Amino acid sequence: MALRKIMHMADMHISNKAGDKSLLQKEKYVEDLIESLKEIEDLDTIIIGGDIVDKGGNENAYEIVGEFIERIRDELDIKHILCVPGNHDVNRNALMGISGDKNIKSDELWKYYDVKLKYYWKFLENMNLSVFSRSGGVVSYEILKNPNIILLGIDSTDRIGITDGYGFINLKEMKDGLKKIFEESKEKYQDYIKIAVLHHRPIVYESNSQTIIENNSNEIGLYGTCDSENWQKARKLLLEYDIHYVWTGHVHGTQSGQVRSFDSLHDQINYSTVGSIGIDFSKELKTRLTQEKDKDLLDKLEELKCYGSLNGNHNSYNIWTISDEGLVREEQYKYIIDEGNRRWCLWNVKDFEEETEGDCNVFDIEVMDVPDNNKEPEDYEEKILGIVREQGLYRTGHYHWKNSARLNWIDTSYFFQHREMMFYIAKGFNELFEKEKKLKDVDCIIGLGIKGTILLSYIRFLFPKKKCTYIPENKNEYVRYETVLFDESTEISSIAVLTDVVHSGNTVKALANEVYKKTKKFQNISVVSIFDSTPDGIIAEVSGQAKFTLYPLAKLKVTDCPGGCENCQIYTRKLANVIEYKED
Amino acid sequence: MFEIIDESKKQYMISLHLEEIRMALELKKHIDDQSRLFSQETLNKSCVDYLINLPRNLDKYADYEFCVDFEHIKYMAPNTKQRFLKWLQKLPNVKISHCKNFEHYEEIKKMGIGENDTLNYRSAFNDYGKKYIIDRCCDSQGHTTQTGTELGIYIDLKRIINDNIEMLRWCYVIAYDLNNYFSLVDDEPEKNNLFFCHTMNGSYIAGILSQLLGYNLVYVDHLGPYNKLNKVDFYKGKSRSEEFIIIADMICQGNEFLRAKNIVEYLGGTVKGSAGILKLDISNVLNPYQIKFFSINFTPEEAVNELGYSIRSKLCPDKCAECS
Repeated sequence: MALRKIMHMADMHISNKAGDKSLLQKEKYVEDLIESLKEIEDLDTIIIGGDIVDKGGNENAYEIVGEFIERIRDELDIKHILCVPGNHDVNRNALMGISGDKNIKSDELWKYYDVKLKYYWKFLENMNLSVFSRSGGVVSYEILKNPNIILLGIDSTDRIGITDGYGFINLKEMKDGLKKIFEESKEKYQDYIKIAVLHHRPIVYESNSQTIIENNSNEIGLYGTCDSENWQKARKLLLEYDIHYVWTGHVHGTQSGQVRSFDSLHDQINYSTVGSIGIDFSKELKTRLTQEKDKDLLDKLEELKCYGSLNGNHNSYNIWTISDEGLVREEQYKYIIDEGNRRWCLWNVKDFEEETEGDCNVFDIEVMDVPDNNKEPEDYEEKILGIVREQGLYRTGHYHWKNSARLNWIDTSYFFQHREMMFYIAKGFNELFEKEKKLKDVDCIIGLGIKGTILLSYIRFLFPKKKCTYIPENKNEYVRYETVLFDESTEISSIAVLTDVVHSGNTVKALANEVYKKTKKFQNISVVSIFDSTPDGIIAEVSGQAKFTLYPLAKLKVTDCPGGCENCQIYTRKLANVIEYKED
Repeated sequence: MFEIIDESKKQYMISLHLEEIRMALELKKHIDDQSRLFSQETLNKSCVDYLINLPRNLDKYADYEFCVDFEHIKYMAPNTKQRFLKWLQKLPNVKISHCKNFEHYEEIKKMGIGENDTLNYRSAFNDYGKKYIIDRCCDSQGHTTQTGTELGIYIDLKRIINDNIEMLRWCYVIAYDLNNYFSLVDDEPEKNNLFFCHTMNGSYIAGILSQLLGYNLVYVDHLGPYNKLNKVDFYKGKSRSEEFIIIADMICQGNEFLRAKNIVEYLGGTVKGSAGILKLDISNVLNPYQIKFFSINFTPEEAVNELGYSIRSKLCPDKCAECS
């Protein structure tokens, strides 16, 4: 599965004014940022969503941004960067130079488009960044392959002049731009994930991940930062081109939400707004925490030496994972304290999930599991033995007595009757099948007995191309009605047998011998089990040349106790009470 | 693909919901989210891609009626609509059914595609399933059971299990009926219900149904002269208030059902009925129950005439009117 990670940041607000510096002008912050981005595999694209500098008339500030861009390009091997302008990127001094003190009429600002973003265009040129149009609308775009994505940079500063104002898009330019990009090869891009990036946030979200039903009135626009009427038209245009994702900045708050019209669920746009990466709100946060006497959080903040903010002012960036399965998922945030409800997030995903209890901004669309390379491998053995311990599944106590197999058993029925446990075991088995070459190559998967058959039912459809069957533990019946193993036309050279526990391996061995005698077909027999309780993890060879390999999720040697508590797994792993047996 | 092609009616039936579930299983998404697969209401991109590539040989079915059943599908993933609609439009003589709840229904209607809500994957399955059993699962050599009863034919349902992923279609149909039942009685399907299985085939079916519908399952390692009960909750008495649906591969006379029922009731549970692959309506043991959902039902006449089913023992007189 092709994967790409995209970093979305906005509101860098770089300035050269002493004492008013963006965090991106602090060496330690930039170092931390780059180090943490280095850990993200497949990150090759960065989106900068406007307000690159704090004052658009400050050419020196753009030079500082340039240095930062050069650095991340070099150190992170970034291949694509897409920029859109923000209201702070507008050179208001230049406009004042033209009009004097008089404000320029908003509907005439387009005449000075090149002037007001003079340093912005120069910066893009110097950095060799994409420029599609210098007249507004779609101002930049990037086409990424595998997975196929089109990023469309849209200028929302059309009516930002000497004074600030609502975001406004030049619709004519936008229409022409989209037409130019898509009409010529509409077919070609129909399967692409299309993401529009602009600076101003068109709508407000009261809470994360909510769906708002848009009523086509101006009501929502009143709370957004775009001109409502203009946005309604822009939105329609986006939907016409099957663009359902809009990523914005401007409000220094990280939020996501879905908006759809009354008319059609299809007219849905998934919005995401990223917080400011540059503005330092830690002082504000620390003051608030001190006032609220939240010492724990304050200590944590100190201990982690990181940044944070309160009440809608978030210092953050978003990392998006996009796969060729159409997945778009927000994966990681930097430091966030959410609006209203304070929420503390850390650098890495693992801690983030713990702290937020999974309450993250995820669009409710096709969510696929993306391999997370930073994730620690699952310790199936510890979890499974933990359940044995908690549920008292180790039966009849444990006797320090040689050949005590009949005295000890693990009651695995608990796993089979809890759906969530079966999924967990299926997950473990799936990992084994994906990781171990022998298992990957098996021709046929066989459930052994009722429990093996239930296990089979949970993993059968994960491997639709493999042959599958089941065999009873009692071998009397299976020969007559077995069609897969004894099918002359099927080439089966290796099999995987599923079972709950391998004790001595005698059942599997007898069964394999029987099948082998009849077919002489397979050489490799893999036994995949929840528990392996064989003395040494070894089962003797089957007659002929077939060889066994055991793949258990948990090993637990119970049949041949070596005597003495310190060597006894039952005792040391606290699975059951130990009763000492004395022969005299 | 789980299409049903009816050559006599010249009909090609597709259930989008079943295809989506098959794809969800293949993509292994369900392992982590542990959701009830049957509650999946969105047609995802992978499934749309799959549908578009199949059937490739449309010419062969140019004179067929293509029926696309939207039942249980309400939404679709963004960025897939155009391709999906184009695919739909290209199908020869296409008809849609149960589409009114689908988010793009109006657009499909505007495309001039005909509707027919009487077309239904579940109904189409009845003919398909009966034919499948007759053609592929009946062993005419007969079978003598452990109790000495002689069966004229042996119905080997393991062949469905061995037929690649075919069993998913059969279990989907059971889940479809169970889901309908629980929607009607306004019961929460996950609540206090358990599947009970006691055979190899039954445990395989119960395992799949558990993934589809969200019930847990309890098994007895075959019914025999003595029964091996390893069910922890039975010992702890936790399941005494719970209600069980006995999952069997096949019910003929219902003796096995009665034995399973006795065990469940002895241990304090309540039996709500039974579900499975095949029911020959030659017994009335399931009459008192509302839940008796089997993929395929054969009437006694069909069992005798179409399957050639007969049951007798050595004690039967040679020309027993009951059996012949």
